[in-house]
Amino acid sequence: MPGGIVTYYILSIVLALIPAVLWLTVLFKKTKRKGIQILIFLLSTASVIPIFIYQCITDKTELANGNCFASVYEVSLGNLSRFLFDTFHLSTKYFDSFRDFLYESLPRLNIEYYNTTFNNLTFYYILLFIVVGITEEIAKQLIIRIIDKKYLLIETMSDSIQFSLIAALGFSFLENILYIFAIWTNLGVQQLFVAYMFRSLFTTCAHMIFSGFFGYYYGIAKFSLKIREQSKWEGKKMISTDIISKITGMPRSQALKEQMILKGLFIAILLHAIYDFLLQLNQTLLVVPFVIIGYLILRHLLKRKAGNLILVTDIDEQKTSTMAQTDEEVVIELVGMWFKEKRYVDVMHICERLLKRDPDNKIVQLFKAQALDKMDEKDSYFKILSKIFPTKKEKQEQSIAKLLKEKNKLNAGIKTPNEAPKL
Amino acid sequence: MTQVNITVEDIPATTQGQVAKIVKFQGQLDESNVDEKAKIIYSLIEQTPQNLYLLLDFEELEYMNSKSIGYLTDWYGKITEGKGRIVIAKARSNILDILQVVGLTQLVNCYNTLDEAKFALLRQDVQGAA
Repeated sequence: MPGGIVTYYILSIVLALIPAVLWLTVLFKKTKRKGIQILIFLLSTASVIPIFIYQCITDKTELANGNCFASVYEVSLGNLSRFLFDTFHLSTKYFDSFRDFLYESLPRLNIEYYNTTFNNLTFYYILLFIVVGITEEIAKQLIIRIIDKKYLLIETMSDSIQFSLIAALGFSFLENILYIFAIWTNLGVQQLFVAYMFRSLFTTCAHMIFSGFFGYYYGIAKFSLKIREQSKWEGKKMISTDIISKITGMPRSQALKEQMILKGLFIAILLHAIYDFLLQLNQTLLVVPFVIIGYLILRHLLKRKAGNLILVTDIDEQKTSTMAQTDEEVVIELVGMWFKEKRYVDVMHICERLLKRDPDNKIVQLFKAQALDKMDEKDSYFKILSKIFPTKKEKQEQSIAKLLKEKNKLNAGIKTPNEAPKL
Repeated sequence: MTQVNITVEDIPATTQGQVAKIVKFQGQLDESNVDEKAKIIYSLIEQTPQNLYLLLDFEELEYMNSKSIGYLTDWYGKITEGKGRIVIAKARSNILDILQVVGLTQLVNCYNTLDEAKFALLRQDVQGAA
């Protein structure tokens, strides 16, 4: 190994730093509390270390044989999944029966393909990628949860996504160092370029997408109390949350919180596993749209007005409403009802008026932001639809806004003699 | 079921073809009765699809829920579509407050007294009803 291990590591760090810095520059542009963000990045980088230490203890021989950190890390997770695989495969006959069932059930068309691919190795890889996904996603999110608890970092749902992206970037940075080093030392510099470009562009981005989705659901979980209340006004039935609440005895908002965290974790793990599996099958062409679609969805979530709404309430600074509580509840109920009926223009106008009376009402703010988001979405869909079907026109709804427009139009041409004073 | 009474009285029309009525609400309009009572107004609209002039007397209406506000918007839409008119009289401050926040007072004019409301309801516009 010419130049020694240290030189390779330094060069690997420099190479891994380039995509990290580029992404950080993009993410830092929009956010506040940069010091804490750097802390998240560094801690996320360090989150790979426990897995490495675990491997050092359990698999000293690998290290002694000169295996690099990356392979050691993968072997570590591989051991765990191998253990799970063995447990499933050897101790029960279910897997064999299931596989036989699949062989019999599958059409004769591509039996050879299934015979060669859907085998024990495939099952092993599925388990490996699920284990990798679980470990990495939990490690990334743990950092966010710990820092958020200490510094009350997350004020909006978009904050949650944003900080998760930084955590993912930190994690991906160290992973990139390990992979660059591994590929460079094992396969040579020729193989490094393509792998480096791919990891910098796609794998780094993919890590951010997985964590971004988890961050989104973590954001919902964090503000579950308000989201639960808003859903109640909208008349939404949260059957699964109610079931969890009944089974566990947790309050509904707490049940929603746990449900969202698990959902986020599940989605992140699933996406992670699919990504790894596609790479394992050498389906690089599928990886590209996978990452691009994930990026576009995440970008949309980050841009949402509801996502950028500050949902943390400072009780000391909260202004009291100038409207009677029962009257305000009637209006919010109507807002929920009309939101469900997709009368977003009315919802937005009512919320605007209500916020003049009760400026710190987060539920009303949330309704307004969501109505604006829906109007934007509707507008975008309509633009796309009108391009595809130029004659298709949107059905006009009988909204207050529309009726008012008609009334004003009519009044413009009407003289009303001796009109009585209005209230 | 919460009690609410709706009574309908005719008002002498000032022009030909005009059908004017006072609809008096007493009690509370809530989830338990609103759908049933709304039918009374819908039947009036059905009977007189054109030139229906309605004065809603809210003096004794203590409470209206979100659904009843939705109905009110719908009545307004249907009546004005038939070149008719709808006004509100003597609404209590809590109800007026709700109607203002919802934006309905921009559509349906509200008056302090029945006379003012009647006058506004039956006035003749230069180019027709609004």
